[in-house]
Amino acid sequence: MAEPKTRTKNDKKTLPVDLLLAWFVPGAGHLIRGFKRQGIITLVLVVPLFFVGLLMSDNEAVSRELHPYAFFAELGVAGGTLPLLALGLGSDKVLPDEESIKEYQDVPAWNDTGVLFCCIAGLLNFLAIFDLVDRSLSPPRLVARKAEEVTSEGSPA
Amino acid sequence: MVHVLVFLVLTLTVGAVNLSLSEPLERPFAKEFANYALVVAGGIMAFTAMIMTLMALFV
Repeated sequence: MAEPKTRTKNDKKTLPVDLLLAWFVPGAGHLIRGFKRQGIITLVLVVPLFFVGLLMSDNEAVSRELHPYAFFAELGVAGGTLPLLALGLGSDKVLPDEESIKEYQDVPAWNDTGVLFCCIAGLLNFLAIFDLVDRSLSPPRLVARKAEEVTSEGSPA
Repeated sequence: MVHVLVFLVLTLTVGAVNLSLSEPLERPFAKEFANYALVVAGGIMAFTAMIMTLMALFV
């Protein structure tokens, strides 16, 4: 009977799939590769930050039309941004071509803060993805650093 | 007050994620985070005190 396939911390074959998973669900990539603390902290902090921002901006944060630059930062949490973009939840607030965006009056009170929250959540997840690549491709460096710290703690000053 | 709260939420979230991704740390995570939170709180208090002093003097 074949044994179930398990991932190791430096398994290069499954890295692309894990990175995709980490992109869609913040922290999932770390969790599946065994970096539990990093995964849990990223999941517990980044996901609520993104969805609180989404609530504050009344889904407007994921609108590419209203926030053409911030959208790319928010894309860091693909699991939140892409489905909402596909559903067009933020786009219904865009005015027809003739009207100016300045006439758009029904802006949620916490719109800017919500967009900021979503942007920071997305950028933090990009950071987490880069960290996952680093930890997966160069674990010897991290092990060596830890060993160096243990040695320096043990040696007399 | 609400702006301070927003600033605190963002600063502490970014700090916690960055600290966890920076492991292995020199000290345990809780100690490092407590130290970071103290620096943030101290910074807010110092900055608020400075603004209030300047406003009392010049406004």
